[in-house]
Amino acid sequence: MKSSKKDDQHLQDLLKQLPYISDTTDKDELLARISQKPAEKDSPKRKRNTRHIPVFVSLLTTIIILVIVPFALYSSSPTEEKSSYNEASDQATSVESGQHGDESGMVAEEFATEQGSPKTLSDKPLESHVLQNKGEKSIMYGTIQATIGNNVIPLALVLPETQEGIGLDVVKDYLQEQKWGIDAETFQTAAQPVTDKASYYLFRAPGADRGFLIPIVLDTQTSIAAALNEMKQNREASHVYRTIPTEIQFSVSTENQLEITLSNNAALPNTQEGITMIDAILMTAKSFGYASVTFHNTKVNQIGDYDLSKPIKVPKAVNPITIDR
Amino acid sequence: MKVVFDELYDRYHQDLYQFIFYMVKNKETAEDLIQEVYLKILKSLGTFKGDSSEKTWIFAIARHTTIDYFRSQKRKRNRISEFFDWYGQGHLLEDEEPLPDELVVLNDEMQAIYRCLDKCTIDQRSVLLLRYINQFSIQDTADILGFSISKVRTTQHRGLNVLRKYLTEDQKGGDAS
Repeated sequence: MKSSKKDDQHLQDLLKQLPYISDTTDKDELLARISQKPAEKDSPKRKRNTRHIPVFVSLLTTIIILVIVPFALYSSSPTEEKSSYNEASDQATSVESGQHGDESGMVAEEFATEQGSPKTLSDKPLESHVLQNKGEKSIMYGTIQATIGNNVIPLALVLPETQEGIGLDVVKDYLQEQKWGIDAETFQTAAQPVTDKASYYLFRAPGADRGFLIPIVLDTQTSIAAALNEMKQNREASHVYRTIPTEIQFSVSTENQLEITLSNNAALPNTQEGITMIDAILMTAKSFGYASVTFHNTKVNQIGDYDLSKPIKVPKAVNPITIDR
Repeated sequence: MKVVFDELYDRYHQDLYQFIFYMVKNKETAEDLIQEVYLKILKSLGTFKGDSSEKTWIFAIARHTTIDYFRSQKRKRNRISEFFDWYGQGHLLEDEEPLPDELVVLNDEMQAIYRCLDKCTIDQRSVLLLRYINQFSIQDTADILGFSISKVRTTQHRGLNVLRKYLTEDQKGGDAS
C-alpha cells in the first residue's frame, strides 16, 4: 500500500512535469479566424436546417393556413409535433424566460431559475420521468448520448403489448434529438437497465421541452444518505440540475426499506418539481437495492399519482418513451 | 467582441490550449478545436448565469468540444453506431502522431507518460489533465465534468493505475497495447 502511494505520488509528479505546449498562433490572427467561422458550428444537421429555413417557413405557413387552422378548430388538445425543428425559433426561446413549445403527451418540465433551482410551469400537466410497474408491458431498454456534455441517458421504450422488438429507424422517429439535446445516432439497446449505485439528476438541454433523469454513478462505498444529499447540487456546465431542492432537509432510515423523514418545516411541493424529486429519489433508492421508499412528515399526502401515506415501490424503468407503432 | 475576446484570451487561452492539446495530442487539431471553443463561449456568454465559476464553465465547453471531436473521429472510422462507455470502459483512439518538439527533448520516462495517457479512458484522461496539468481542485474538476467528488477520486485513482500498469510495461520494453 505504501509502495502504491509512493508510485501514485511519482506518477502525479510526472504528470505535473509534462511540458508547457505553447500555442504560437497570434492573438489577432486567432480572432480573425474565429470571426470568419460561421455562427452555427455545433452540428452539420443544424447547418443544413438553417439553409432551408426560408423555404421551410413558406411551406409551414401554407400548411398552417390550409391544414392546421381547420384542424385546430375541431381539436381540443394540441397535436403532436412531428415537423422539422426550426433552429431560428429555438434561439428565440430560453430556459430562463420559460418559453417552451408544447407537445401532447410530453413531460412537463422544470426549468432553472437564475438561482439554479427548478420552478414549475404551472399550466403544464404533471408527468413522471419513471414507469411504475403497472401490468405487463414490453420494454426495450437502451441508452442515448446527450449532445451537451458526456451524459449517457438511460431510456425505456414501452412497446405495444404484442411487440417484442422494434427497428432502430422507428425508434429514431420518436427521439426528437434536436429538441431534446440528444444524439439519435448514439442510441444503443441494453440488455438491462443501469444497475450501478447512482444519484439521479435532471438533464435538460437549453430550450428543450422535456428533460431526462440521468444517473451519476457513485463510488461503491457511498451511502444512500450521501447520495441523496448530492442530488441537491447543480451542475449547470453540463445542463444537469438538482432534483432535490436545497431547502428540503431530511433524515434517512434504512432499517427496513428506505424511509425518508423531512426534518424541517419545508413542505414537499405538490408540483412538477415535487414529482421529479420523488422520481429521482425512487430511482436512486432502486440503484442502492431498495424495493420501496416511505416518506414521513411530508405535510401533503398526494403528489401527482404518488400516495405519500404508503410505501412507494421503486419504478420499473426510467425515462419511458411510449412507442405506439 | 474584440474586447471580450481579448479578456478571455488573456485569462484562459494557454490553460485551455494545454488541456485541449493533451486531450487530442495534435497541435493543428488543438488549434481548430480551440477556435470552436471560443465561438461557443462567445455565443453562450449571454446565457451564462454565473452559478459556476467562469473558468469551470469554459473548461466544460472545452471538454464537450473535444468529446464531440472524438465522436466524429470514431464515426469516420466505424460507421456502425457504437455505445461509447463514457463512464470508464471505452478507450480513446490510439495516438499515431509524432512527439511534439517540447517532448522530444525529455527523458524516456516523461515520453512514456505522455504515450501512456492514450491508454486511459476519456474520463480518466480528463481528470488527470484537469488535476495535474491545469491544477484544478477536485471540486472544480467535478463541476467541469459533471461528476460527483467521489467519482472524480475514483476516476483519478483508476487513471493512475492505468498509467502505472502501462508505464511498467513500457519500461520493461513489452508491448503496451
